[in-house]
Amino acid sequence: MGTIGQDIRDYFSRHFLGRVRVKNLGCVVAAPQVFSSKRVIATCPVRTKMQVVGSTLFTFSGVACSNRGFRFAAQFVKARGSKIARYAPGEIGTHTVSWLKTTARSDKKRVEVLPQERSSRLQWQRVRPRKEGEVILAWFGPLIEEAIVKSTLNKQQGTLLIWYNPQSRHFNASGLYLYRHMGRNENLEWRWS
Amino acid sequence: MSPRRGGGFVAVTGSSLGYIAIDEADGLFRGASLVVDFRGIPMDFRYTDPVRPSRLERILYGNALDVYLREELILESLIGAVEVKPTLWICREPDLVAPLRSQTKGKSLFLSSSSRSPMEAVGEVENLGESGVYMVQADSVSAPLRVAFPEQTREDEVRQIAGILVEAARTMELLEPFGRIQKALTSLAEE
Repeated sequence: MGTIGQDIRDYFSRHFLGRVRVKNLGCVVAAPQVFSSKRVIATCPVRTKMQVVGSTLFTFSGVACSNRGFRFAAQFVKARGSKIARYAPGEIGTHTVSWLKTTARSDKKRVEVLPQERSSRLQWQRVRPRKEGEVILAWFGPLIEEAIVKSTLNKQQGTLLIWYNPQSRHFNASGLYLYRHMGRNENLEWRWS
Repeated sequence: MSPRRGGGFVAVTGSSLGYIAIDEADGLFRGASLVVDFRGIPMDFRYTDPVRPSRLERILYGNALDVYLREELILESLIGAVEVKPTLWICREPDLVAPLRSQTKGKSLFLSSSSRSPMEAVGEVENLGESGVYMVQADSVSAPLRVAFPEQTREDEVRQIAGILVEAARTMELLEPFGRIQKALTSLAEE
């Protein structure tokens, strides 16, 4: 209605008063919206958060724990089909794990009574001195002849067991041949080289 | 002074070899060290009390248990207790060479026999291509020995140690003390 009334007023104003309504259209243009083309890079870590928990190889001592029971009124808790009972755990036993430890002990006498064992090295010997009618069975070395207190041939193993005098000052090494004499007796003979 | 071959007798002072052996049998770990002079005569013998880790300790220590027991607990106890410091430390387990060197701050090596034919000359050293592993012809009456050194061992140090082995092999069997250590550990276990 407002628009029709305005139109009638404009009509009569133009015809009788010679006036024309001037309208102001205005030339205000809204400022264009500006968007930045700059991209913002968002970094989102996809890995899980690393957490380093200190650990030790050593044993630990237990922490003393106790409880006074978890109390609640059974009538306040309702569960379908079964009766709620109060759970009261007993004392938690804690134990201390002892450290792994060992002690080094000295016992030189234990090894001093043990003999040194020599295997035959005849297969490596290039020089094999022997007389007619005898066969070399074995060669044992290196041995310190002057330091030997006792020696025994282990016939089962074919090794020579030797006991040295720990107080000996001799260091002159030599070898020991074992010969078998061929003939009636076939007796054995030891000979230093 | 050094031993002479074929005449008289010369006392070798300060020249000794230290042998280390650590065994595990049926969950029981024990170790021993034997220091001998160049004739194999004992100068020092130490052994550790047996260690039997419990089931809980096995769980707690996991895969580190074996290394911890051998390289830290037993080896450290033995090295710390030995009073006669040897010229060379010799072990029969390749894994012990590096910790042996770091703990003794001295020369250490792993020694084992080989089935190779003897090399040309006594004292010859041959690099096997592996890092720190060599064949050493210590004497003329045995097969060359397989020797492994810690990785950081220099070539000149290898030659020097090979020289010590050659010198000792003139008057003793280099691998023989391991047999005595084993016998001593067996006798201790039987007690």
